[in-house]
Amino acid sequence: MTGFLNPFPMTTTLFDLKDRLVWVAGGAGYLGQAVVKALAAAGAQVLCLDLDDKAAAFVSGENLSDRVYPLSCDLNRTDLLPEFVKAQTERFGPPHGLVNLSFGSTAKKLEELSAEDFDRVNHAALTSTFLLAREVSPYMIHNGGGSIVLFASMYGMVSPDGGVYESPMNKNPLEYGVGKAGVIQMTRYLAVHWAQSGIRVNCISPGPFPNPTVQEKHPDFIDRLSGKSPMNRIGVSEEIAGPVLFLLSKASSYVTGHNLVVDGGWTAW
Amino acid sequence: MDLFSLKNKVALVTGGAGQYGKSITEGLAEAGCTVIIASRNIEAIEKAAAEFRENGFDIHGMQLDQADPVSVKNISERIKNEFGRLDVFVNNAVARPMKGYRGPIEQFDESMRVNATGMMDLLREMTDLIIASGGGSVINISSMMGMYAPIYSNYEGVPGMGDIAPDYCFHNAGLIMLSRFMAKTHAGKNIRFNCISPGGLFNNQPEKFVENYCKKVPLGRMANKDDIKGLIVLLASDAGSYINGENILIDGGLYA
Repeated sequence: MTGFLNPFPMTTTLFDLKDRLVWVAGGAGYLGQAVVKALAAAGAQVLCLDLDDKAAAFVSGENLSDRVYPLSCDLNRTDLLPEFVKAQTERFGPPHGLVNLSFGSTAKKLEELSAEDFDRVNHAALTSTFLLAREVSPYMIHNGGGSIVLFASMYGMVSPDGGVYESPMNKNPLEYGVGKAGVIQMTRYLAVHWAQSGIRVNCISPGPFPNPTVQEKHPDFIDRLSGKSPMNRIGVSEEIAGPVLFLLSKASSYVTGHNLVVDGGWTAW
Repeated sequence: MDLFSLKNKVALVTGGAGQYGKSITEGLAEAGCTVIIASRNIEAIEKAAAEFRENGFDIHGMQLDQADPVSVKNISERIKNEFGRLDVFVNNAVARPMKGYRGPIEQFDESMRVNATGMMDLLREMTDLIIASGGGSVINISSMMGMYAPIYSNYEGVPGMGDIAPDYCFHNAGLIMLSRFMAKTHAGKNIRFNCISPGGLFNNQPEKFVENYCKKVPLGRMANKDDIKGLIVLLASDAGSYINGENILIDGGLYA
């Protein structure tokens, strides 16, 4: 309506995360970066965890250092994880949120996938995911609760369609989807386990979100992916940020144990 | 936070004078949306709209009987003429003529006339309006009762409750499928269709029922009327721009 001045131009408090501390594991990846940037824009304090110097390079490159602190962390090293969580919690205080976007994948064909490959990838996808959440949980509980957002995938719900992939690209590999399916069930288990302790646990299953390198190198692949989505396009990383902010904030205070699918409709048909 | 802003958007919320309808409307309005609330009862809807306006929100009441094709056409014309566009449709109206499993079958028929046939008529009209406006978002309000069978033990020791009418469960299940159907049917037109399935909403039910129910919910409480607001804004706004064909439970973990 023209001429109408709304006194409430923005959703004021519902999605507020001001000065909330949120850990983002895998925060320097394609989706992770969008999540970290949106959290910083929403006023949160972020610990951005990634391998080697990836987090540091991302944070300095994007001038996010006033809100985001980068940390190098290899979540595969489950032997070091409890000590890492303890040290960072003592240093930064207990987190309100934990977002885990870390993942592993061999990109191998089923026929070439070794038992060691399968174990290694799922050690990261499942064992590390479980352990990080559990080690963080006592600090969250002590702090009055929090919200955990795990990342699954549409390929933890449906099989990849071989017709979308063409040589030399292999079909999305078995061990990836198996790990992601496990994350969906882990979400339900943890949600029920911690519900009375004030921690909500949900996961997000992204649909087709190929990173810019894949987009650039394989335009035909992008066309085939787009054609499989009712929205006739792939997702862009910013479209993951809104659902994450929703699940971290009190806007979702009655949502727990849910797998929120952000796939443009891929799994709807 | 621009991501969740609905400034300059126009939404229609059916069942806008009910408990959920008011929360949905408030959530949209707080995000800057202009909201048309519609109901069969013109007095109730005008009163609700006036109360919202007193709080500074841009809310307009319109009469609608979704079981009447003429009324559906009328509201479509009025929205076009008075607002020029529609961006968001929250399909929230429900009639509950059937009171229990053995209720007269004519009541089931009446329920389908409003909740299935009339709803479909309105859904098609509003979808056309949104597409003609360049795209937007449709949010269907279903229920966990459309996903799972009733938990009869919740009604133990609660006189007068526990005879669940089948029509409500039936059409809500259909609405979940219809959301997927519409997502596919209107693929590529910049319109998204999603469904929300809330768990039990606290509505001053008998204490014993609330106690039975809450024992089963991991979060230990029933839904309150504001629990739906965040999800409505997520699905209506650009923050949810890649969520399509989805059914989202707000059940406190009951069915986790």
